[in-house]
Formats: sequence, C-alpha cells, structure tokens
Amino acid sequence: MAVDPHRRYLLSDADVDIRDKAFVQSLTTEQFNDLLAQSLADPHAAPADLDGKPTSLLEGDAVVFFTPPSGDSDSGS
Amino acid sequence: MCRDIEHGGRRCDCDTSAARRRRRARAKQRAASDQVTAYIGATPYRPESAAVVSMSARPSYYDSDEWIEYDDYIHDAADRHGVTIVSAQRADGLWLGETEPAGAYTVRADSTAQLHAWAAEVAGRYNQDSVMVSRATARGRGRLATYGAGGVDAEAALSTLRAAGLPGGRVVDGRLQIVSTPDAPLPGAAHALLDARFGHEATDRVSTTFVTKSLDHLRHSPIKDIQRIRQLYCDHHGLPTPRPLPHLTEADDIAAAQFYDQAAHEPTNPRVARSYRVLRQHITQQYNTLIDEGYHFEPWDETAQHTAREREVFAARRRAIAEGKNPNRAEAQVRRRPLPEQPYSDSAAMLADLRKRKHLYYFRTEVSQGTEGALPPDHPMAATVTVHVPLQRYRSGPRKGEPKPGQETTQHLVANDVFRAVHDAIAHSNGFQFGPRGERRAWWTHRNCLPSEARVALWNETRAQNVWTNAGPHMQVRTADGVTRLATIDDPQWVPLTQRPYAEQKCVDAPSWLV
Repeated sequence: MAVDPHRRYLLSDADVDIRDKAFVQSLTTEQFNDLLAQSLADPHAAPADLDGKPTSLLEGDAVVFFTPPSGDSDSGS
Repeated sequence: MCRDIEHGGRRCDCDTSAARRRRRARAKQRAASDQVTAYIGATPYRPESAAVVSMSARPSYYDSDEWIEYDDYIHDAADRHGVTIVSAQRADGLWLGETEPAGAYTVRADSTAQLHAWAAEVAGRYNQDSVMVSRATARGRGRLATYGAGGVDAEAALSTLRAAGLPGGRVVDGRLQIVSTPDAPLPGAAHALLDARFGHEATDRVSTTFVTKSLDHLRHSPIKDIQRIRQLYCDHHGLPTPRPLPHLTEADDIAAAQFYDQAAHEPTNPRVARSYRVLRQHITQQYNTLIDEGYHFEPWDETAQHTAREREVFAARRRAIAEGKNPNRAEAQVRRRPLPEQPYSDSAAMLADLRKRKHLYYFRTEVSQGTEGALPPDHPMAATVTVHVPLQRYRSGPRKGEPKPGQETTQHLVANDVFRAVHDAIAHSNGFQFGPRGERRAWWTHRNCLPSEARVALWNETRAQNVWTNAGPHMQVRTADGVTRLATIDDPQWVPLTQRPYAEQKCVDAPSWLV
C-alpha cells in the first residue's frame, strides 16, 4: 500500500497492516511515532508474543543498565 | 615518544611537529571555548549556547573523568560482590522521557543476591533510586526484545520511543532493546510496528528486577581525615596539585606488564637507586605524619590474631549484655571460630579498621636470600628506616624487645613494611580496593603525594607488580591478526583474580612514559 504522507493513519483503519514492512518503513517519522503511540495507549492491547532466537546471553547471565549520575552524587576525591 | 605518562604515556606523540601544531590549534580552541563558556554564563538562552558548544570538536562523553570514574566504580564494586563483567558496552538510554549516555553491562554471578547487592551499591553510591537488572533464565516471565541488526540510529530510535510515550529502551551496538515485563508488557501492535520498522532480531527470556539503592558504598567511602593529611603533606613539601588519573586502557596495562616482565633487576642503577632513596625518605615522613596524627600500624602475626580475637570477644559480650542475652554464650560462640589467616576479610574491613580505630595491620616482610616470597637483601626496600613510635604504645607499655617508655621515641623497621602500611593508609584509604582498578587508582593517588624522583620506585612497588599479576603473560591472548589482548572469562587462558601469580619483586629502570 502506498503511503500518503499527509494522512493520519489509525490502527483501526481497515487498510492499515502494521506487519507490512514496506508500508511501515515508508511511513514518515511522525506517522510511525503516531501509530506506535496508539499501540501503547490501548489499555486492553494484547501483549506481544515475544519469542524467537536468543542473543548470546547464557542462562544466568544478566544485563544491567547503568546511567551515570547527573551531578548530585557524593563523589570522593 | 612522550616522556610523561600524564600526557597519555606511550600513545602520546606530543614531540612531533604535527602534535605541536595541534597544541597551538588547541590553545586557540581553548581560548575560543573560554569565550563560549563566558557567553553561556552570561545568557539564560541555553539552547542557543548548547548549539554553539556542540559545534566544537569535543571528546566523547566516555572519555570524560566523570564516566571513567563511574565505570571504574562499577567494575570495582563488581569485584567486591563476586560479579564478573563479561562485556561492557556504551549505550544510549531512554528512561521516563530522558535520553542519556549510559552503559550496558553483561555480567555473570553465582547468585542473584550477589548481582542485586552489586547493583544496589552502585545505585546508592550515585544516589539513583534503582537499577534495572534483567537476568536470562528459561523460567523468566519477562522478555528482552532486540530490534535491528546493528543499524539502528540511536538518536532517531530513542526520539521515536520518547515521542510515542514508551517509558524505556536503549540502543546498544546499533540495536534497539526493550524490556517487556508482566507488569508492563509491550503491546503486540507496538512489537509488530517495531519489527516492521527495525526488524526483530532476538528475544531473551529474562527475570527483571528493579534493584533499589543500598548504603553499602559507605563502607568504601574515602577517609576524609586521611585526605586532609595527604593534602597537608603535599602542601608542606610543595608538591604540585594532584592530577587526575589518565585514561589507561588494556593496551597500556599489557605494555606496562610486558616491560616489567622483560626488564632486568637493577638495584644499583643510579636512577633506580636514587628513586628508591627518595621513596624511602618520603614514606618514612608519611609514616611519621600518620603516627603523629594518632594512627598506629601493627604487623599481622600470631599475637595480632589473639589481640583481634580478644577485641571480638569483648565486643560480642558487650553486645549480648545490651541485648539481654548471655554474654558467656556469646563469648563461646566467638571462640569456637578458627582464628583468621588474614587480618581483613576485604578492603571494606580494612577501611573500617582505619576509619574507626585509626589502626592498620600489615604483613611483616621477610628478608632473606633464596626464600620464595622473601625480599632479597640487595633490594632497596629491604633496608631499614627509622620511624616514630606511636605514643599510645608508651601508655600501654612496651612489648618484649621494644624500648622502655620514655627511653626511645623511634624504632627501626624494614622499609618495605613501612611502605606497605603507608601505601594502604595513604592511598587505599580513598576507598580503593585490592583489585586491578583499585590498585591502579591507589598507585596514582600515592604518586600524587610524592616528588617526581620517587616515581620509578613507586611504579615498581605498586603499578608494575599489580599490572604484571593482572595483565602479565599468563593473562595475555594473541589474536589471529597478531594483536595481544587480555583474556576474558570465556577464554581458556582466563585466570580468576584469586589464582593469579604474584610478580617477582624487582626494581627496574622504568621509562618516564610508564611511571
């Protein structure tokens, strides 16, 4: 389906197929963000079926995400 | 080749004409930057100022002292909690609408408790409410979804997530990662959109926990009293303002270890001998300064173990009485435990002893020829030095063989004993543990309170020996393309920290770019 850059697409639109890679990749950033926001805003949305091959993480490994301080720490000299 | 490690050591080419040109350019840039700084300070219009700043060629955030200190602390804390960092990658993170540079660490530990204790300590140290820990497990109810095959533009992707109202996500190595938890699942439609836009690459089953901060970091906080003493010492001896530790990489560690490994023991080399002479003079003065400030150092031997045990018994009895329990039973429990072989269970215990009691145990040096682990008599640190005797010891009476009260105010000690005590007190008291990073920082802290003539000797006694242990030939891996790197936990050459060999005690003539 050809993307109209001036149209607002809704998840409920009959002609919108969010699994259509060509369609989704042709969306403008604003249109994509808008659709993503709609998908996140639905309180009754079914959770994603997230299965697939794993990354190189081994059983028991952990990923920890640290964000450095914003200057309010009690750093020593 | 640069002559000064403070310029970056062996990688610095500051003597070349190109480098001189760069220096001149940098000076001009600095002058311009000062003007920009003044401009920012004078105007409230931050966006305009920020735009001006972003045009200058600033080094990466990950080269900043702030990040290096942060990353070092994370690694040090990991060592303390028995957590092995398998990989550490730069990341761009989005959390509650804010995008920030961050770090993504893949780690391994024996237990979840160790992981959580580590994350909690880091969060506490930097006053962050919590840290997200996702542990891969087949029973995990959460999912770590990875999108894109290395080609995701971090800024654009995180802007998209932010604009769409997704609370968190990160881009690591060109891949977008989102954690979906049972409490906050990623909706199917959102996943479909992200998959279509970026490509769904992988999913790990994880158990995700938000670990809240602890106060564990306080056990490793710097001892302010010794910071004050260090500053006074530097001022008194006219030593220059302390310089921050340069960014030393794995390649620097390997280069230093290789040099020490191959260099000859040269105790009579005039440059080496002079450096050791200056080091002995200064550690003697530093020891005396600490003694005069009320600190006392005690060799760790059988007597010390019994003294420590009696102290422990006293504390246990007092605690039992306060809690209304039987003190005899509490004492019996303490006495049943075997006497410890080490004075301190970890660096935090040493810091606590130093902080609360102004006391430190050290291992007495054995000086003898041909005995494994002993210091050879021709080693400059085998010489004796004369130091002050703590006043406190006079009050409690002399030990066997020691001078009687009022007769002597000094004693003779092996220089190596004095050095080990002073180094732990002066340098490790800044909260640096006995792991590779802590030792590196301790070396630099001690280096900052010694004159330049002592640097060769200090390097031999600290940095060289530690870097050989942790980056010596036994830890090096030669890759197929001829590059030498350090073994990681997944390499067969990997040697756990506690099993690495000690370095030979040599005094070598190290060049300036190393010391």
